[in-house]
Amino acid sequence: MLTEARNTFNFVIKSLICNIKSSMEYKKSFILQTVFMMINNGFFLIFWLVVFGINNGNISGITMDDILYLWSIPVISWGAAHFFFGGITEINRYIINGELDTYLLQPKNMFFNVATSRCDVGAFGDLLYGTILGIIVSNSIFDFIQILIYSAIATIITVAITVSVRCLAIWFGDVENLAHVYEQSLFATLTNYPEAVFGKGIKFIMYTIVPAMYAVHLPIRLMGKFDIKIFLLIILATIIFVLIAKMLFSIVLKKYESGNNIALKS
Amino acid sequence: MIEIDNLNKTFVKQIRKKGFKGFLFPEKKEFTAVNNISFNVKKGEIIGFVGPNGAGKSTTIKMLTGIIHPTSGKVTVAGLDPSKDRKKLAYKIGCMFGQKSGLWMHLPAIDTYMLLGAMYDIEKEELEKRIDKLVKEFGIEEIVKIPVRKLSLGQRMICEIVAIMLHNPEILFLDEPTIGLDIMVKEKVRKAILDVNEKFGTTIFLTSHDLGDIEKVCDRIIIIDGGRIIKDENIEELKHEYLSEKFVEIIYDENIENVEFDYSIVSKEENKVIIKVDVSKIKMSEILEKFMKYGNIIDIEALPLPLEEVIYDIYTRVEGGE
Repeated sequence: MLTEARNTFNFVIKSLICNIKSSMEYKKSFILQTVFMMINNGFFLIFWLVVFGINNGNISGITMDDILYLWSIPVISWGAAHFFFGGITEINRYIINGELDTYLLQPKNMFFNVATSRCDVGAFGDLLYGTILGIIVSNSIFDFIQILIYSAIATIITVAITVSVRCLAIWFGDVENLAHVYEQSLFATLTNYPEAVFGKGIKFIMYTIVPAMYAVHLPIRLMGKFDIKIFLLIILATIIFVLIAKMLFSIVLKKYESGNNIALKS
Repeated sequence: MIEIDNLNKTFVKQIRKKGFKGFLFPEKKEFTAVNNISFNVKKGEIIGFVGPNGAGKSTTIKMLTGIIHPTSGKVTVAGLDPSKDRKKLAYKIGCMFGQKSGLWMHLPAIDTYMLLGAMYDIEKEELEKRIDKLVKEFGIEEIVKIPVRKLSLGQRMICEIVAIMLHNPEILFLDEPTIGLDIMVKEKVRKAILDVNEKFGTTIFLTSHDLGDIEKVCDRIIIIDGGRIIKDENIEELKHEYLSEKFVEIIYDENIENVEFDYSIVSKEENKVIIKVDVSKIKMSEILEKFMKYGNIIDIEALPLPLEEVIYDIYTRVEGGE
């Protein structure tokens, strides 16, 4: 068991190295995508700076520090999920095109093999941007370590929900648009605005089918004042979303029908 | 090495009929892809597994490698049941599917080899030894350092073969390894397959539409059509039986469309006539002599029968109860 875990970890690291080396083959493109992603994220921050400037640095108790936390944890987690495990956004395509064959012929854990099969270069910009914001907003190293821990949890949640929604392709076929709406229009949007702006109905959604509360808003509450009950609730929710993803991925492997497509790894 | 006993695979297909009702409630129909096949493959054998499109070749290979599960029947590959021990089996087999590359396109092949070392849990020192040995064996010492996208197709195919040999597989499954390759590259790939078999004693299970692959590489041929095995024979015997039949293309210096030939003709078009002959029964000089009387011959060429023709011939004989 331990040997298998060690071997899988070794494989994941080597796969990530291959992905990074592959991206670095086009260094200028890699740098441009990273910079433009950071500029894109920067515009949102400028928007908030202007809003706080007009409102003397405080809007109904929300400060610029809250916004910096709000843009640090979700952006780090989004970046980490898509940079390190970029293959998760391909699962639906692999299912409908019958492209899981390559991975089924290999002896490693299917999930890690598929997840590390690709890396989203642009997501490195998110990862870097979120980390810089985390450093800016931290008052101490302890603060920054907390940001990293909560970002790691949010990364697991992001990976789990992405896998879950993409696995629906086994029943519904093309779920690319559904996944796009769920991941970006719902999850990403609900993690990028302060908790206080949402009503009860939206919060119910954020506690259940779009877990933005566990990924971002509850951790931000904990940054102000640690509460073991909230922390355990976050851990419990994370485990539940991981188990749902695991169950759906297992169903995919059981129901999967192979295809004859021809493709090259990039 | 491979034992297959009464293997079956059926799929359920949805058939949409016309109209709104047909759209909402498609009819489900069972389709048999592999129908009760049985055969054994010995260690070190090179098997050619052939048949027309949709015959059940890929479905069989996918069951042998654990990608899909049989509906019924028994399969044992390298002592393992592929549907129960897929991961264990992956350490014992190597697979190459046509032009589906196992190499990272933007990286030198050596980087993929290092990743495959981690994939198959090979210790670093052992991996370096194996890479060194295989790379020298196939003479690609410099090629493995160049990004794969910059290699010629032939160089890439050799790198692919080295990649699937790194974990010392007992069996190689090669599905259309020469598809889309020119004749020079085909020859290189065929030689590499024979080298692997000779030097490492690897059992090879090969599918191809190219009769040349089967003729030059395989010891034995298994022909499948409609999910059933219709021929399982030593390649030399099949050669004797069928490969002596050829199409002969004769080109005249003038239009011969209106000429009545005293011979069974396959086709006749402008100044070209094609006949089917058994070269073990009739000499080319005799053919030349027979056809010279119809006009001035400017070219003559003997072509092997396409695989489909051989399969069709075998199939019609089987159907006819011969």
